[in-house]
Amino acid sequence: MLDLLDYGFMQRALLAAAMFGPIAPVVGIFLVQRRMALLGDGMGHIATTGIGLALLLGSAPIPTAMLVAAAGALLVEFIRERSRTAGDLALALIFYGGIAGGVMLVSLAGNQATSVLNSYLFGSLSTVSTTDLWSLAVLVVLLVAAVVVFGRELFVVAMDPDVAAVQGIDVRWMSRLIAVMAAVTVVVGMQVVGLLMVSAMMIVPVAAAQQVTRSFRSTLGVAIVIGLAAAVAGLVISFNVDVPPGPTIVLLALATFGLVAGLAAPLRRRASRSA
Amino acid sequence: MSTAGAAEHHAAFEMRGGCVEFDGTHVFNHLDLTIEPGSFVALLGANGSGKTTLVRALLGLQPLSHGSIRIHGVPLERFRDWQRVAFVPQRLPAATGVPISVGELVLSSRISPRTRWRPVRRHDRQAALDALAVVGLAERWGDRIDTLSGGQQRRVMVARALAEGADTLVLDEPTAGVDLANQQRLAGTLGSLREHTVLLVAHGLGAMAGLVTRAIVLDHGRVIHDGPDAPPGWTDVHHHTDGDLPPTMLEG
Repeated sequence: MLDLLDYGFMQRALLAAAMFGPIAPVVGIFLVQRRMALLGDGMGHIATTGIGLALLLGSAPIPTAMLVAAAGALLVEFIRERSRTAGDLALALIFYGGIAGGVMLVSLAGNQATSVLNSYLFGSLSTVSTTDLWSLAVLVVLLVAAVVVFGRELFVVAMDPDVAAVQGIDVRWMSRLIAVMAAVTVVVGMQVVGLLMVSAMMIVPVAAAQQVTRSFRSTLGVAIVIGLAAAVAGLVISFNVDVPPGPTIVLLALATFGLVAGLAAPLRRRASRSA
Repeated sequence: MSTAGAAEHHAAFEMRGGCVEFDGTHVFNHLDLTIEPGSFVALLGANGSGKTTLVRALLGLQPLSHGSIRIHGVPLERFRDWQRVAFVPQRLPAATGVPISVGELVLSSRISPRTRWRPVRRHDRQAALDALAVVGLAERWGDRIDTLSGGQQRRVMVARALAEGADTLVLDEPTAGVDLANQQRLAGTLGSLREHTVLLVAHGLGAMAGLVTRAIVLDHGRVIHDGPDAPPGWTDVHHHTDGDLPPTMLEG
């Protein structure tokens, strides 16, 4: 079991998974609370264009994807601010534009590029380089710093934007911030579980945690544990059973949700009887 | 008037020539409105009368197409003293999202850009506990907000406004879908706030009737009544006709 640590690529994969697993629900919980659970999914689509651009230009994938996804996040927020009714539709246009643009750019970049794109769409923990790890570490530190400084304001905005505004909180900037944070999280997770599944790790641990918790803070804590456990256990299982790590991690998180939801229902019934 | 009213010369809210339009249709046009500090004002009207849009405009949540607003004497664009003002919405959109405890909800009123760089302090927690005690729900601190009844949730939201330290409370339909006992508790709490300015939007006054010092009735964006008493027919709790209340808000 521990012999997996003999391999350098496994050490790097483990570190990447251990960074992404806990940070994903930290950002995701604000999206769930704002009822924008699928925003991360859209950001993944947009990041595809970043990957395509990186392959075409020969630039580093993580910084390029991050810049494109962050720009896309700001564009999405800009549209949401402007349009009261058609916001949903505009988001869809950008998201599909992102994935179509990405696939197009990749095909322009040549034949080998397609297999590289696949590794970012579905995850490829075994190809994480030391440079990648440093990039991921910087992004995770930035995300943690943003949550420490702005997390409480993000909480109020996610709870009720009107109440937040009357409290003096800049709702517009906080909305832009959480969108950019979602974009950054997507980039952190693209090698771990892939751009197409990255949103699952932002949402599913939160959905599982909230079956058994009574407060935002405890939901956050439980979701972090579930995210970390699913990411690390998924990677270990995939190493031993020889299945791809991305889907293993996501399926583990979903199984945790099913288990917790199944156990929580009778518990809640008992709690409401005793109350 | 109250001591706060005597000490302060500025109106709590002052709108001059206010106009809001949606897609070319005026919700209201050239409306002047002054809410004196320390007053307890009820803004009444049927659905579509523009009362909700009006208070949203006063709070800066709905931009005016023409006109100006001052809050406590300061133009809205430059107003920064937001801990004086609290908005109590009809319901919390997040009540069915990620679990939030009663304590977290009340404590969250202390969050602002000013608190960004400091941790939650003991006096923040104390203010939240005290406010929750005022509405008689201190023992529910650790409970999930969505395990409380609609009326209790409304009381928690008022506690939230008090914990912020606000002296100007704006309440959206505080009595709609709330049973009489909870209405009376709410009225008791609001009635004890002698130095506060209270502006409430309602279909009907219910248990709040005795507290109101001024009643304004809005119809299609025009003020059709403005006086110390509500005209007959507005003192009862009108039933919601728009069907927008979730079943959890309707208590038996």
